Amino acid sequence: MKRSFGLTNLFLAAALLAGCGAEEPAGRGDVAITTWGEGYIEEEIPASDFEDGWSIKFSKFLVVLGGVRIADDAGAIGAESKGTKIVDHVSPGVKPLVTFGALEAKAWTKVSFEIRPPDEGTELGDGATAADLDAMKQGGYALWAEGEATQGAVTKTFRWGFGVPTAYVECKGDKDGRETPGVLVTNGGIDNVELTIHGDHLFYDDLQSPTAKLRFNALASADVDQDGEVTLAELAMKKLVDIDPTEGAYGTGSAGDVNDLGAFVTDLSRTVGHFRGEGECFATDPQ
Amino acid sequence: MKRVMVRLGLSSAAGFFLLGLSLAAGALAAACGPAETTSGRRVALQTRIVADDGIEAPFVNAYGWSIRLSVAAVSVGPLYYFNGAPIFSASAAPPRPRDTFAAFLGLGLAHAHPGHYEAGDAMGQVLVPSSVDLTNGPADLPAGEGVAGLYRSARFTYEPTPTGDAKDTLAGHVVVLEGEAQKAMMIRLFRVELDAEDVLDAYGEPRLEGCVFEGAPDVQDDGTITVHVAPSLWLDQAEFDEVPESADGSPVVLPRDGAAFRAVARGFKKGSAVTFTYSTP
Repeated sequence: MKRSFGLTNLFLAAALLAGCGAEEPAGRGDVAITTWGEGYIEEEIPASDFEDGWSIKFSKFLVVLGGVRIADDAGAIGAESKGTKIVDHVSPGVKPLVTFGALEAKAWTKVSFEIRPPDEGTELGDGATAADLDAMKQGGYALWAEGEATQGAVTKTFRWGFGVPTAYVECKGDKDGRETPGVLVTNGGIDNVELTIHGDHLFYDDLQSPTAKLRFNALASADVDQDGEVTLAELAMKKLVDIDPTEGAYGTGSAGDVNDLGAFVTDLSRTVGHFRGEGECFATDPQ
Repeated sequence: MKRVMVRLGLSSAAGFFLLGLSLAAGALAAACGPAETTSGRRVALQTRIVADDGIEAPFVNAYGWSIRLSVAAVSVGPLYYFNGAPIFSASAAPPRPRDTFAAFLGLGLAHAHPGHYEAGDAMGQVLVPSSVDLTNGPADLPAGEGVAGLYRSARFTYEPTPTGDAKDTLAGHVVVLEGEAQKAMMIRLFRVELDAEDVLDAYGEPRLEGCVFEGAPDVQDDGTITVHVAPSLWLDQAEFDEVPESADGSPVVLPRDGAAFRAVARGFKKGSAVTFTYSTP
């Protein structure tokens, strides 16, 4: 009896020592980062989703993604890819961006990425061509949206390039039915993370309100030369105060210096980045 | 989306509840938490309001009008402070050890759907309505209270029924402005009267959501919250060309169906025209 009690104590001590040795990693795993533009970009945004009966079909939706960083709660960086890749989200399917191997198995709660203009190191991703990349470099664009809007017999085209870089930080999203900040690396496992691009945001009628609606009437009315193309220059000439309130509130919230539709849509272009589908990040200026 | 709407739709009523919960959590923190983690501790917050421009010196708006205000009366309703980041934050909050503790207490960081503001948790409030004429200089507003932690955004409300120092000036309106606008040889003496229905937000409430808390302060001590308003943003998009000249030297009330009125009303719905700061003595 005494002997077994002594053995028990020995096992307990060993267990405690093992517990104290938590410095050892609990294994390693991978994180695969992909991106997808959903059906809204690949197929269309149907008229049923718009308040004013327009529908949108994109013919090109170029996004320069990169600057992916995975850090833990204390801010220690576990993996980082400083480069960028250009993809065309009209091209169907989920597109690979970068895979990080052999991360310590644990919760990496601080995950961020950027959408920013390309540089010399920007790689070609799925759907994008060398000509696309050159054009984006020339224009200094982080995002290019090209397509047509249709309402009955009326069609308006648009070709909009946006150059304002945006960092999406402290991302969180649904993983296996639970809201999860960042990524969760398990021993020998792989966490597949999708940076989801929401193309419909370009047509919201409010910069801040969760009740924002999809509309195109006000944008269409900016086509002052009636050539069928709504340009960013034309949008910049359309003052928000001149929009009929029945065509949308076009509220700007706390966004400063947004007084015309050009600035409005440019700010909306900074809201397209999401995490694991509907997951959220802080949209901010890159450091 | 529905989740966000529910959160924001309930946020007015939830303000008291969340703040009460926070105060209770603060008591729990005091009882159980380590000394250096103080999120949730109650703090007393004095309140000030000041016009950052347009009072002592004229400003020039987007249409080239040089504007100076002689009356800038505003009916101020309850104010709420939150830990959710405003849209397009200049920077995300740096991680702090106490954030983890705050999360343990149910005061976790709020996330904004990009482009969609989420208020997050209520951190402080001023519940007593008041009114002020900003041309009289900086003024005290009723005192508020809050809990220690990160303050990143705020809600400013217009009180539909004016009370307080500028009640008579407001004469039942939520905003009354009077001033002079000058461009080249043109001079316009104007008066703007806005009612609550002129400054409604997307939820049909006379309020500004997601106002910026400058510097995202980590409030740990009693202090003063200052509400900064920018008359230059209220009037930035107002074109006075079509406003009639005054015939007798008295200001001309902007007609409600005119472009200048619409522009000013829109200015008062700009959250960027109202920012908040925190300071300690």
